[in-house]
Amino acid sequence: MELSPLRRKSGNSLISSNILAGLHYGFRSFTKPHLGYRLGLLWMVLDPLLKAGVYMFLMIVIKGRTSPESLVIGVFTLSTLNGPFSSSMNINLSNEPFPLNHTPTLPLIIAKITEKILSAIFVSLTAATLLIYALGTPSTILLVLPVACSLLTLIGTGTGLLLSPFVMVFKDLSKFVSYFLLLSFFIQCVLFPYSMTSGYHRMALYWLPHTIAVEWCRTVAYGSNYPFTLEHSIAVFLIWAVPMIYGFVRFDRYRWRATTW
Amino acid sequence: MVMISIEGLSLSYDGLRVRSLFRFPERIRFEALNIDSMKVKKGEIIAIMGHNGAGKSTFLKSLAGKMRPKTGKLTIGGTVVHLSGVNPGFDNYLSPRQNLDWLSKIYGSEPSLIIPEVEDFADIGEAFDRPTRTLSGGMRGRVGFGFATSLNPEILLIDEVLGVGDPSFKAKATSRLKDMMKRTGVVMISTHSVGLVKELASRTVVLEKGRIIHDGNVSEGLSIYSAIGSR
Repeated sequence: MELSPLRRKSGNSLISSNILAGLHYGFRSFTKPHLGYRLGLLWMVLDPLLKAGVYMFLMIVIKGRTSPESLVIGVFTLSTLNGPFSSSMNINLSNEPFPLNHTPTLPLIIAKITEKILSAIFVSLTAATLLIYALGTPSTILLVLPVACSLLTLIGTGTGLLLSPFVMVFKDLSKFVSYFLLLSFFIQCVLFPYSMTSGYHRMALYWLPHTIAVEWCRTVAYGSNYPFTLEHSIAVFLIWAVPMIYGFVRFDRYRWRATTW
Repeated sequence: MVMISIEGLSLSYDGLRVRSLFRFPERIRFEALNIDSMKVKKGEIIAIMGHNGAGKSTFLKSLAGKMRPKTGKLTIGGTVVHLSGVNPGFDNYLSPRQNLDWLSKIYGSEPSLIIPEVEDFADIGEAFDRPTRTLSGGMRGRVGFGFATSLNPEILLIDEVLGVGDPSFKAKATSRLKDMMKRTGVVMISTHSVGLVKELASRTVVLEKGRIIHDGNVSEGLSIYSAIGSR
């Protein structure tokens, strides 16, 4: 191992299998928040189920509508984007999860992806199952919602990591961003469909991955017209893949620099 | 054979200092370590001594590859275990046995070999199967120390860990360390225990304000350490 101000060149490490260690750690992080509860891992299903139930109640009882699936899909797709973004942005870069040995960066990234993708899949499968049984949504939603949520999770995780070093140095940034994420609940296509938007708002939404994913799921759920071409949908995801990949790739250097902050 | 080589290493911490409730915090930089040159050969047992705030923990952390130097270069020629505090990454809701099962996999070791060895060393009875959060600090220290030493690193860095536990644990841990030193390339112990240094160390490094003020003979190191304490 060679260490200098600009780089850390790894040598032999006791954490021998990077990918396997990352998968173990990711699975452990995914289950850890539920271990202290009496119902244990059942909360992995109960959490999204109750959340979806609350939003369905909001739409059916409070708003008096009979089709709450638009809101449920909107909320779950946005939460799988914003949740990982926020968690990655606030990641403690200097933290060593296994303090006996310097933990290489690759398992940390693999762990983060594993944890967030598993969460996205559980959340979306539970929501999709509820939509199918409670509202008669076509069963293809069982396939489409997890794929859409997983893609958004990947983008959220990578772009969040891109901001993490700035948050480390200027912690206040995370406050501003958390309010921006709250605002995004109201300006993105969660409470309303893309077809109801106009002007600059519509133009901005046109280039956001959440809009593409949520409208795809809504098309499958209740047969609305998909407002985008396939080429545009792919292009938007590819554009957002650039900051996502950059976030993953640069993480090692950012993490190294942040160890003395 | 040189296992650790240090050239012009300096390290500083950045952060924010609150001045008063009505003023914005100011950015500060604190220089914690400044070492011109040092080499550690295979087979050496080095005691790192110095009073609180001298830079002992920072020094060991940087040797473990966890801290970015401000200047200089550090070369480490072997696998490192850095035992600091009593928790080697345990999950509080899992028992030591469950923790060791998954941590062994992370470290690329076979749980069926590691678990019996640590259970035997820790000797904490039924507590080995209780959630870790219900264990005392001393019990956790036994398990953590047992696990860290069962990994067979080439360089072992120990930061004050032998301070936890009762006299029987200390005796057991010391004996395990001696046994381990036969297999391990380098051991560096940060400690305030003069007895431990006399018993184990082959070389002492005394730090003051992040700088090495003595590097060499054990008895000379101990008298310098006592002298800076009485200043």
